[in-house]
Amino acid sequence: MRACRPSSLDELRSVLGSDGEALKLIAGGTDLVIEVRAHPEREYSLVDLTSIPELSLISVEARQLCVGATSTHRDMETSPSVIKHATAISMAASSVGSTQIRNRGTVGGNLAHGSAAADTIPAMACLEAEAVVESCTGNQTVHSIENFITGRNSTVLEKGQFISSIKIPIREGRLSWFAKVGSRRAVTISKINLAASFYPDIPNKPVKIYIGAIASSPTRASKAEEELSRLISGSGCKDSFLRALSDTVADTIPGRSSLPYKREAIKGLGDQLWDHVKEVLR
Amino acid sequence: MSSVANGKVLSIDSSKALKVPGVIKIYTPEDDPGISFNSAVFLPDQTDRRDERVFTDRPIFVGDAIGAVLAETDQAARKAVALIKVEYEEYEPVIDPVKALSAQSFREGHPQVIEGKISYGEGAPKDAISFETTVATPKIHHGAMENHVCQSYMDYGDVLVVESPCQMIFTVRYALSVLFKKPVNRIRVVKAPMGGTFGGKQEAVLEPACALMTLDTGRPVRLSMDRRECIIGTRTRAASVGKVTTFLDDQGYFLHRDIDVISDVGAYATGGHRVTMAMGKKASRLYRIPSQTFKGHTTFTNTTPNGACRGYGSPQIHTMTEIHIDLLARHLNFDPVDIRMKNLVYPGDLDPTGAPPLGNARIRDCLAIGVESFRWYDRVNMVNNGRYRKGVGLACCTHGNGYYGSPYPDFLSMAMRFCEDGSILVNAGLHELGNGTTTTIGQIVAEVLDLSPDMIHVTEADSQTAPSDVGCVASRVTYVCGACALELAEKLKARFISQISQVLDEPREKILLRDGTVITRSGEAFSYGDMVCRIAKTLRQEVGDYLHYAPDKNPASFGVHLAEVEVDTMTGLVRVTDFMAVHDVGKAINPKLLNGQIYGGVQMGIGMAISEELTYDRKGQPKNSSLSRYHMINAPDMPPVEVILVEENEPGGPFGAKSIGEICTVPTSAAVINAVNRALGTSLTDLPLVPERIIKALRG
Repeated sequence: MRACRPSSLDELRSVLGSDGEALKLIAGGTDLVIEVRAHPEREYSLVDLTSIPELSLISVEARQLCVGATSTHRDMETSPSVIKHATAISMAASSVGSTQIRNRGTVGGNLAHGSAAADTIPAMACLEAEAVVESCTGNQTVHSIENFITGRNSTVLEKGQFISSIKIPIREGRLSWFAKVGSRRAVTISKINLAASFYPDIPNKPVKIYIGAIASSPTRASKAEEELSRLISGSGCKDSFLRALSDTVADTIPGRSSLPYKREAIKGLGDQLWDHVKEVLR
Repeated sequence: MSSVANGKVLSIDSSKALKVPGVIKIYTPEDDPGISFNSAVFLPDQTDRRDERVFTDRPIFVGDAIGAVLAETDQAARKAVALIKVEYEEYEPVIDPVKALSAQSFREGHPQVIEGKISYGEGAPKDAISFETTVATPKIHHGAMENHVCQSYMDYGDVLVVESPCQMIFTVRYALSVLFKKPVNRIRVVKAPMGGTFGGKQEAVLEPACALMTLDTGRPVRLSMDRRECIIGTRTRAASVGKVTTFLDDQGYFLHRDIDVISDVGAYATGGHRVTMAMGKKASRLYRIPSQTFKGHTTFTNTTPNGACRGYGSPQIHTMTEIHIDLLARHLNFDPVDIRMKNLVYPGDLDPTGAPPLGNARIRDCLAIGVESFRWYDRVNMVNNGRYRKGVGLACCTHGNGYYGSPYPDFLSMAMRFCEDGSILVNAGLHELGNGTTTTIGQIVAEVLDLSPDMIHVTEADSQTAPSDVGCVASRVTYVCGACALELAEKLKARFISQISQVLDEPREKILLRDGTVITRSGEAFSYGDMVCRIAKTLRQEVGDYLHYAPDKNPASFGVHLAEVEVDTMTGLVRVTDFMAVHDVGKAINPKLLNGQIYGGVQMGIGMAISEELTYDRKGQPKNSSLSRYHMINAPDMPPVEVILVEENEPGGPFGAKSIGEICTVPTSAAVINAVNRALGTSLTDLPLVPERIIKALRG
């Protein structure tokens, strides 16, 4: 195994430019180290991103929140800016793994690994976040979170590219929320999760709801969004809302053995979301 | 380790692996000694089938050992293993324990089902009410902090030394002597410090392969597993399916009970059928049942072998019978506490099967205290509607105190001597499993000889230097080994006083031993150490003694667990919100350690009830071979556990003490399941109650 640890973005670009094909990027390593250990026969050439200061900054700039790719789950859990402007991401990050995992695992790594059960991704999607991807030549491309993951553990990322940051637009009056259900309360992988953003004081602003862990990418729940909008406008029916969520799950994973459970469990998360929004409206 | 669940090794290509720097030798089934053994057998008369090989060419579960790589470093060995190509011929695996009853045996020359029966009384009465329940319990990983590991080397020329964090050095020694045909006295097995076992290290799992490599090369060899290997490739708690039918009169008194258990022991015999029959042996020691028939069917599947696991069948049988009694009470309109009280055993009761008497059986006290302290009757009829439903449940249980009365001989010896500084060396064949064995033994000795426990050193097992001891198994240590330590300490005290009396020319009855000091009639004081030196010089004697001890009793320990649960009816998550454990322990030698045992036992039992289960796909591939997929109960999911001890003195035990280490996980699962069924009005009997099962029960 070989490893290098660039300490600046320039150095990283030059490493990626020289030997782009065989390299693997490592940040917290909470997924990659497991893979490396499972394949002692493979020759890994790792590039450690955690010594590049620019990649771990969290800042508010020009009506957007910018979260550096190597910010850890712990950073997102505790950053006042993330808590304020991207509550769902903070809630999702705080529900991931153990304290040790949250101290190591990064937001960029979570995204790059492309796990369907990742908790921060639906949270980012409901906030219309975008991932900034850079290549070794310094080219920047911006991808919506919703379209970032292309399949099981695969993403739009190409060799020689890295995620530099996540940009979350800051919108006046917007709140967001996240919850998940796993096999137990903590240190558990999501069986299904739910993220939402909404404007409690501005009835005609769009509600965004995403369901995670049922498809490779977060699944938008449009019907449920409509019903939650009605609640904010002063009507709305909880049963219809829960049914709409359940239908989205059923339409997304028809025939899957996990469907009978997930189409019920999503109602539990929906119930919490509905009650939360009602509480906020009060 | 085999990657197929049922197959034959056709070829092994090690060419790439041999090129890895640091690789010394690659072992394949061709290096197997060609002798079949059983990893649980410790005396030649034990009839358990010898069906295991060190390296097999006929793997029968995913994780079966087919070879090994000996290398200079762990990394080189693991890299080489990954580069070895094994070609298999695959056969259809047997996975389901019930279907296994009628399957063809994949263990060539061995039966597919082993039957056993324990029966007494006159059978089922004709006109009695009867009730039947079938309960299924999961296959479980022990989850000790430390994965399996051992190391071996040659010493003094021809002595094979194996250092192993195990529970029975003499089982390891026996397996090695059978396999390698070495004189037993040239095999030295040393109990190494361990990070937990819960029964998983009771059998010889890694030691044969490790020793084989040392004997072959003369090199020191260390063999270790990671968590995945430990989960799939060592031992498990047997999954079981039990049908319980109780016949009773209209007052609720039990008249007869039929128990029919299928126990899935996995791929190899190991001690599996002993576990099945251990279930039956517990069934006649909790309630007064005039007549009972227990039938055990040990079946084989292409899954990880079973073995000892905390409770040795006791959690399974009690889960079956205690869930059954709750459902029976509800169905026939009896109060679940009353019906238990009507039938529970009394102090001094006999075991109707002829097994040893129950001793000072205080289960009735445990139940009465538990019901009172848990405020059972205030909580049992909680109003329940809305998303989160609460319910309470309880379960009773019993467990043993050693091997006495079983086919396995229970005995041990200890040597105990004062050193020149007045400290005491207790030379014993004990196995500290992390549960406080050596501390407890030391406390017992310190109490008798009246000195600080830090002046006592208790050794662990070493087959060349320590006296014989069966092992730290069967909940025997405090009751049996502790009693030996107590008797020997008293014997040593008498000898010490007699020696002092000779040296000082004082009558024995005027010599006092107080807190490390000898006090004479005239008020003269000597430290123990000074006196030991004077005895050495004057009498040319050591202040030491030896005792051979074999128990003549095997009383029952008892316990009642009471659980409160909250079930989320939308997500199916069960949370245990409150817990009480009431245990009949005779006497707590070390209350802190004892409570620690109970907290851990409750944690394991809740896991068995709601989240832990090893499952395999149709091809026999383990589906949850990591701790991220195999969910044990962690701290956020643990309820507060209140412990209440009933200390009414057990004859035969040191200061009246009896066992706690295993029994504290025995009734937990049933108490939790009974609470869930009460919360939801369901009759769930398929463990564990994972969210999917709860939702299925609620939504159909």
